[in-house]
Amino acid sequence: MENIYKPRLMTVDNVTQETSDVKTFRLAFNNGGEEGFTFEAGQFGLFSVFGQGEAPFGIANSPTRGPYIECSIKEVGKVTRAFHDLNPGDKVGFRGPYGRSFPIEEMRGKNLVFVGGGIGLAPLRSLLWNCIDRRDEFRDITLVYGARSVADLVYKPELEEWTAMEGVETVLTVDPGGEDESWTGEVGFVPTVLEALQPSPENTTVITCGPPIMIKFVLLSLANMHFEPEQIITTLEMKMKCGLGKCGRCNIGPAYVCKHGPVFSYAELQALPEEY
Amino acid sequence: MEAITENIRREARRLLEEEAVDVVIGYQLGWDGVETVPAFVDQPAEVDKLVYNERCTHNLAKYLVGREGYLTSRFRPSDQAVRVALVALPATLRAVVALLREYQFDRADLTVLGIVDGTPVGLEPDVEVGRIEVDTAKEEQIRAQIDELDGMSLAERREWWRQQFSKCIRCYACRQVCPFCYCEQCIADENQPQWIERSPSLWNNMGWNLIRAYHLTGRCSDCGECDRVCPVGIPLRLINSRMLDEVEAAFAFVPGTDPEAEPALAAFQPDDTAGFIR
Amino acid sequence: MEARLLDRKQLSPLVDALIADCEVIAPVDESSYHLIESASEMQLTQLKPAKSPKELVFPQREVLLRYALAGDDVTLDEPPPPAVADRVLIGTRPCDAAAFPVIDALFGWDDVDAAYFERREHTTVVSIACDQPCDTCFCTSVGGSPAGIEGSDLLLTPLGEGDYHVQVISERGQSLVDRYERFFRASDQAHNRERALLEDEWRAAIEQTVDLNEIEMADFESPVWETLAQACVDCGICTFLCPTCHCFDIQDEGDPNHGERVRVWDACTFYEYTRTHAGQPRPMHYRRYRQRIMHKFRYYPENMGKVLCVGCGRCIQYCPVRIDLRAVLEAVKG
Repeated sequence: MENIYKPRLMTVDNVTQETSDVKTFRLAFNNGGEEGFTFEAGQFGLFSVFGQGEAPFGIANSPTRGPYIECSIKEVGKVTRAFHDLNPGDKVGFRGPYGRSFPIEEMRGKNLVFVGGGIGLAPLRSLLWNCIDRRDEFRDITLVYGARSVADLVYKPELEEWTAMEGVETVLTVDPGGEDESWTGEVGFVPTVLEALQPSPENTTVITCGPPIMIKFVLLSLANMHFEPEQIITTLEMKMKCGLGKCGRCNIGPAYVCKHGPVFSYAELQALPEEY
Repeated sequence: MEAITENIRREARRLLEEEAVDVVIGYQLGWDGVETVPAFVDQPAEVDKLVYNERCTHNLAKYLVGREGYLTSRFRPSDQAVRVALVALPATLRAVVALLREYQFDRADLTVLGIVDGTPVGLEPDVEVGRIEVDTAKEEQIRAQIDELDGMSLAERREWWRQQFSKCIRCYACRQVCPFCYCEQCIADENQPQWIERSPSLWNNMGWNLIRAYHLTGRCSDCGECDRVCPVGIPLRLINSRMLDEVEAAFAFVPGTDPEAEPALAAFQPDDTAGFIR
Repeated sequence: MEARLLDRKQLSPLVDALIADCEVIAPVDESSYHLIESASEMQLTQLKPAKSPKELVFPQREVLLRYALAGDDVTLDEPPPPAVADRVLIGTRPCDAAAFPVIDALFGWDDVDAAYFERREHTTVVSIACDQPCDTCFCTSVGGSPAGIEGSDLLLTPLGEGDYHVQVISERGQSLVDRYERFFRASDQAHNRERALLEDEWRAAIEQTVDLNEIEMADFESPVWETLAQACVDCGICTFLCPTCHCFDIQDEGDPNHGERVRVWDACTFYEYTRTHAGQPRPMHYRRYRQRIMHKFRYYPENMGKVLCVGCGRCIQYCPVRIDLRAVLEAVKG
C-alpha cells in the first residue's frame, strides 16, 4: 500500500529573489511525475529539504500554468533557511496537493476583489492567474495589494503585468514611509486603501490573505462597507506537519486546517475559536 | 501537621484581607480527597481549602518562573508583577534563594510562608508556618543508593544508567516540574541546530538527561520532584543529588543555603585558577 | 461465536504455547507491555502499566523513509512495511483495547496509514477484565466497562471458582481459540450469567463517575478553564501515557549525507507544539489544556463520532500536579 508520508522528488528549476527575505522557487517534476498530477488554486503542499525538514507552503502558481509547482518562502527558521540555500538543480521533496481550495466555481459570474498584504499575495496569485486564464467567467477583477515598503512587494514583474492588464484593476500601496522616489502607487495601509475604493458588496466576493493585523482591519473595513461574512474568503496559516489530518497540530475547533482549510470563509472562521 | 494547616490558613486569610498579596500559592486536597495538588487562592473566603500534609511535595517555586509566567492577569493587572505568598518547603526555600540569585523575580513581590526542618537555608521566611522533621530514613536510602552506584566500576555504572535512560519517553515532566528549568528556549527544543534529536533513542535520551543534569549542577534544590514525577521510574534524584555532592566538594557551595554566596558555576573571579575563563 | 472457559491454571501454559508460535506481548511490570519469552514474565496486577499498548501500533519512533544525498542527487528509500510478525497482546485492559477502534478512525481518515493497519492486522488482542478497578479509573463514564469487549478479539473474565470466562468477539479471536482448543472448554448459561453479574458488580465499584451523556462543553471563553488548569506544568505525561492520544511530529534525523525521516510522538500540551515565527496561537498553559480537553471530548467526536478517551485514568494517576480529568469534565460539561 502507498506510503502516505513519502514525498515525490522534484528539482529546483528556478529561484527568484522577491525581497530581502522572500524567494520564489519553481520546481520541476522528475521522471514524468507531472502525469496525472492536478491541483486547485488554494491548495498547499508539504515541501522538504531532506535532512532539514518539511514545512507547508501554498502552491503559488495557477493550475492553468505548468507543469511545475511554485512556492514563495520567507526565511524565518530552520527549514526555510535550508530552502534559501538551494540552487537550481537541487532536489526537494513535495507531498500534496492537500487541503480545500478556493471555491472558484462559486465565484463565477461575480465581481472579485483580491486583497493581499506582503507575502500573503502568494496563495492569492494562484487564484488570480487562474481567474485571469478563465477571464470570461468572472465579472470585475480588482487587486488591492500592499507591503511595508517598495522593497517588500513580491512578484514585482507580475504587479506591472496586472497593472497593465485591461481585465484587472490593480491598486498597489505601501505603508506610510515605505515609498521611494520612483513609487507611483498609493501610500497607505491596505485596509485604508481598500476602503477608499468603496467596492460594492453587490454580487462580490473578497479573497484576502496577509499578516494577521492587516486581516483584522480589512475585515473591519469590509464590515463597514456591508459585506457579509459569507462573501469574504481567506486562507489560514497554521503550523503543520503531516498535512493529512493526523498529527493534530493544525486542529482549531472541530476543523483541521489541512483538511477543512486552509481556505475558509469568514463566516466559517467566526464559528472557530480564535486560535490562529 | 494540623497546626501547620491552621497557620497557613491564618496567614493566607490575613494577607489576602489586607490585600498585601494577590495570590497565595500552597496546597489543597485533590478531587479524591487524598492526593494533594498545588492551590492558587486569591479570595479570603477560599483559604480553608489550603492544607499541609506529608503528601505535599511539589516545589511551588516553579510557578514563579518561566517564559509565559503561570500567574495571569486574573491575579493582577497584566502590567504589574503579581504579589505572591508562597508556602515553601525546605527545598522550595532553597530554590527561592537560588532563583533570587539568578534574578528571576523580586524579593519584594514574595511573602514566604516557610516550613523549615532545621537544615540550612539562605532565607528567613517572612512567616514560619511550620517545623517538620527531616525524613532521615529517606535520606539514608538515597545515600545508600548513591553509594552503591559509586561503588560500581565505570563500565557497570554506565550500563546501569543506560538501562535507566533507555526507558525515557521524553515527556519532559522532569523539566516541567523543576523551578530551575525556566529557559525560554530549552536546549532540547532548539532546532538551529538540533542539539538533541526528538526521538527517544538511547543516545538522544542520554543527551537530554545528562545535559539537564549539567544545567542543574550548582543550582538544584534537591526537592526530588523530578524523581517523583517520572512516569517510567528513572531515579533522577540519584544524579542530581550526586552532583550536589560534587559541587560541595569542589566549591564548598550548597545552592540555596547562603544568599551571599556566588553561584558556584555561574560566577567567576578574574583570578580564577582555570586559564580559559580569564 | 460460542463462549468458552479457561481454567486459570491453564493461562500460563496457554501463553507459553503461544510464545512457541508467535510473538507475545504482555504487562511485565508497572511500566509497560513488553515482548515476553516465557509466561513467567507476565505480571497481572491491579495496577495497569504506565505506558499503554498504543505503541504496538503507533510506535513512539517510526521511520517513514530514508534518504541519501550525493551532490545534488537524492535517493529515497522506504523502509519496507513493518515486518510485523503475528503477535498476541495478552493481559490487555479492556480500556486499552477499546482505544484501538477509537484511533483506527483517525489513521484511516481519507489517507490510510498503511504501517499502522499492518500492525493492527497482525495483532490479536486478548484482554483480561478488571476485577479491581483503580480509584482513578472512569471507563464507565465514557461508555466503557471493566469487562468491555470493544477492541478485543478475546475477553477473559475471571470467574469465582478458578475459571476465566472467554468471550469470543471476532474472527481473529475464534481462530486463536480453534488453534489452541486443547486449553479451552465450552461455557454454559450459568457461567455466562455469572460473567454478566460480575461485570455489573465491577461497574458499580467505580464510584467516582461523571455523567457524560449530555456532554456540552462549557463556553470556550469561560473563565473556568483557567482555574481548572492553573497548576498544569505543560509536560507530556498525560498525552504520552494516554491510549488514545496520537499527535505526532515529523523530523529528519541523520547526518548531512543520509538520514531518516521519522515520526515521533508529540503533545499539544507542549509550548512548542503550535508555535511558529508568526506567533503562538495558544499562549498560556490553560489554553493548551483547554485544547486537549475540547479535542478529546468535542472536536474528535464531531469529526469521528467517538470520544477520544477510554477512561483509563492514567492522566489522573500520573499527572505531576494531579489535575483530575473527572473534576474538569464535571466542571465543563455544561
